[in-house]
Amino acid sequence: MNSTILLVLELVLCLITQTFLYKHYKTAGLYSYIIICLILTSLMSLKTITLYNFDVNLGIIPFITVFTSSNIIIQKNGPDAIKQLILTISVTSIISYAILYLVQLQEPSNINLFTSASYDNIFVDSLRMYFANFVTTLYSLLLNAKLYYYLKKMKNNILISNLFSTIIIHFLASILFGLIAYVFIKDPIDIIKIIMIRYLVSLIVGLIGTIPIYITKKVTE
Amino acid sequence: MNIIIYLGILIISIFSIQLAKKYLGKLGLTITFIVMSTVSFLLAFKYITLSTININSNSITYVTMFTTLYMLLESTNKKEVKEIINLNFIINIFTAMMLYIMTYYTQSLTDTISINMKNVFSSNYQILIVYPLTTLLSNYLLIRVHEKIKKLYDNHFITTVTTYLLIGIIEGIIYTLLVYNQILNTKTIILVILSTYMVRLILTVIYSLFLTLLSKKKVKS
Repeated sequence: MNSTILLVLELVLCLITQTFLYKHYKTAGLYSYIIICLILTSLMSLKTITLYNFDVNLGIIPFITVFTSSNIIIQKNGPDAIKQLILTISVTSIISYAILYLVQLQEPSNINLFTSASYDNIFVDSLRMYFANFVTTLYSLLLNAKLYYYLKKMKNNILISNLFSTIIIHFLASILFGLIAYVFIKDPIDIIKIIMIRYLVSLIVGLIGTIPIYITKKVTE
Repeated sequence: MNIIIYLGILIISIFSIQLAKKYLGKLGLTITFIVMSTVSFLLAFKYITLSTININSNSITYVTMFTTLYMLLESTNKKEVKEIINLNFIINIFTAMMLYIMTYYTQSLTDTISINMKNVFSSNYQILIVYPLTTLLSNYLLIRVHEKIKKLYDNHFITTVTTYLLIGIIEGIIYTLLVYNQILNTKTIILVILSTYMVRLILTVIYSLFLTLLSKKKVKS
């Protein structure tokens, strides 16, 4: 199926889930959403697809919607809540990946051997990609929290705060991810292409992310 | 080697419960419950050999999920625990949909992981449907059975182990029959159900001893 259609489908699913979880489960819902998106990102980013002749890692949609969720939390609870969030996602991300990776090291049984061997192949060379995702997420979330809150204090407008933080933070995040994940593996030109397409997708998704921030503004904690 | 890794995962899981409870209280237990459920979901695709028996690789994380649920039942009311179970169900459905969509993307020329992802998530689509449903069912059953047994014997160890004795076999039979009915023969299905049930029961006993020690400390709310 066309990759663009599937990306749009993924985006719609993410935005609906995010808004629904915040509406019904408040902060616990958003925390859960962010953590699950990061687990999915570390798995999905192992696969690459071609989008308009550019290679791009999957998992970009759940990764960017994490920033939308983070902005909803800042909008409601201020920047201090992000420190707790970053600590929580660091610990849960390391623990969940450690378990998934350790299971890959275990000998598969003869039952459903084909699937078990395929599971092992997915995670066998996943460490570098996981590290790239982990560092990019933590660094960008921290910077995003500071920038978004600063913009919110200067001019209390959701669109402006989200627009400028998206433009700056995703530029840095795309560069960081591209460098950590692909330096010494791909040619510099290929890395630049990956960074460019990643930034473009991030900008579009990040701006669409303004909608759930507006919708959740009316929800009281 | 498998047993050493298995023990490693057990230690990580026990450590994560204690960490979550100590620093985040109820929110921490909720997050641990959801993370362990999602990790169990991803691990459900692999079977491993432990000594001579074949078991599902998610046994530890699945029992960890039940343990956090017992702890939530001890520290909060039934209505809140039911809300957490519903949240977990929505997250599981979201994960299943994301994983299924992922397999439909056409991979790039350099991608080598995609075929393995298709073998794991697309060929075993039954797990994507059955796991969220059986988890929801077993969690609701757990609340009911736990409540009834607790009225008879107000002892952590007896309550948790007896609850698992009943829930574990029901969940095991429903899950394995629905997923592997067309794939494995009857003898293998029975062996898988019994071996997974037995290992999870041993893990429940270990966790229950640990839970009895932990329950002396009050959960932060």
